[in-house]
Amino acid sequence: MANKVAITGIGQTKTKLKRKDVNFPELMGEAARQAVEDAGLTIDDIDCIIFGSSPEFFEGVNEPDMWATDFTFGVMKPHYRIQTGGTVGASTGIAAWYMAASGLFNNVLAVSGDKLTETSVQKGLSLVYSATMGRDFAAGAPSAVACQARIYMHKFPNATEEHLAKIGTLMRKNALYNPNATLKLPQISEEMMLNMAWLSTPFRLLDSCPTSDAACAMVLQSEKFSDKNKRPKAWVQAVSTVAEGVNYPDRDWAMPIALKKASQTVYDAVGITNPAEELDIVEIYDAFTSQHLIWSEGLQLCPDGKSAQELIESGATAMNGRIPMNPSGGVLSNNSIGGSAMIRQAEVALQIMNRAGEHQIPGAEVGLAHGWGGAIQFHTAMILSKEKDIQESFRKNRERKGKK
Amino acid sequence: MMNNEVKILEGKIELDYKWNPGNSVGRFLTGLRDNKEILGVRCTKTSKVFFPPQMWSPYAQIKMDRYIPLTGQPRLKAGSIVYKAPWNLPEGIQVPYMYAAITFPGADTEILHIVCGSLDELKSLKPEDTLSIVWKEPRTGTIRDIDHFRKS
Repeated sequence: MANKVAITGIGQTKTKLKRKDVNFPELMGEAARQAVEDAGLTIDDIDCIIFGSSPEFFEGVNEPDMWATDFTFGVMKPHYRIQTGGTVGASTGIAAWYMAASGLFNNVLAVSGDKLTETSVQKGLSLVYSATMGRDFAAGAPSAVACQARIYMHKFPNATEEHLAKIGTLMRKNALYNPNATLKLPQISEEMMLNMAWLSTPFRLLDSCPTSDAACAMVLQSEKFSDKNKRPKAWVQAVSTVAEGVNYPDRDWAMPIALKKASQTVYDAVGITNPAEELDIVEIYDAFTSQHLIWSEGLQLCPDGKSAQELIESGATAMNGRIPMNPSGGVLSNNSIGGSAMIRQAEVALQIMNRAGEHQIPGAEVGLAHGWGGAIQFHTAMILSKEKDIQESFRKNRERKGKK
Repeated sequence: MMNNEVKILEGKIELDYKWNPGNSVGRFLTGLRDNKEILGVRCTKTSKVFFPPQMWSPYAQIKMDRYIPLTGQPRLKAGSIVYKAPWNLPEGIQVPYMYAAITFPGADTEILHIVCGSLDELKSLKPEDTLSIVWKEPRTGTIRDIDHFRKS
């Protein structure tokens, strides 16, 4: 039986698209120091570091973790690098959970990020395609995800470009309340979204995420140490990472089976049968607007093909809706790749700790953080709760909702 | 306060590779080059046909070597019209073009390739529309021996 583990410290690098004042290891160190301080600990308390960054071409240095150990407290300690593409931040958080849950380590630091503004991101992304087959036509990430969007919108014609504009607007409005979001567009509107130049249909410029320099870090402590730590905390109740093939028979781009399995695994682990009802907050990896529709169906927040109406038109995923999604502004408002999937976990943790400031969802007890990476391929899910016993959080929620 | 402080160091990485496609992809590329042949490979356990061919069936966990030529007319599964030229814009291609998932009758997986034509043609393409192959001359044994697809 795994030990209980809580997130007790969080660090996010300061808001700015380009961080010209720091190099990559310094950026990672900034997040790491913040998280350790935030947990009320010192470097000496940390007994293991999990380090995440996406493919080497973004930093232009092979083995960037080697370069960073001085800055991320790795000297004379176990320091492991994780790399799983877009999901790397989530995989890093999950690997840190494995370490603390195993009982072999008690105070684990997870740090993940990238400095994406130092090179051409789309070149780096095209280099993840097969050298012998796919790379000749790879047009970075947007075109492949645009194909996914096309397949989804063909299957479910009730989802339109207007829904994508609504999603992009909602996320950029949420971002205005999050000091750590890097893309701030106070003037954003659906009309503005729909008047942007085409990138790759059905995506216009603002259907895509920005590229940022950012890192995120978290301290995860095993039960005994979490209990002693009197700072606000979020208990990690279940994790799942699932991969699917890159091109397999009868693949349905519009319904990633890996995401369905990842979400079902964490729901089963904690006894969630109606996620839209039982989760108070969800943070998803929305690098493109269409992914709100597809990922929320993969997370089973509504029936397949219904998200445009049931979640977007209805306003259900807005900050004051019944299932707030990405009150942080999401990946659509800050994408460093390396930091992005950990920021989803960190943002859910902040909500549960009641420390999300202006974008706080009142009374958030139980939340889910999602990560996406690879082609349509890698998915992660993590469930967090305020109470050590998640059933106690569910009970408080039922009581609160009963009173309404 | 230094006005000319070093803020940026410019650099470039260039590496040469000689990639081995492996026997399955190698055979596929050879077929394209020598015979304008489109090869898939059948998993003898699940009957699924992988295209482009690959050596290992991920679900049956067996090696695949039953190659079958795909002779039917390709169809569009879905495509996105690319307006902004990517850095690696294929030689001889101009924007706008369509980045597309394309299926061949008899295959259970799709290939990602490009469809060219006038913007009106590209806009008029719908899923399931048939496409034809425009071959490259001379062919050299790469996926670009299929230069592009066009509306048939």
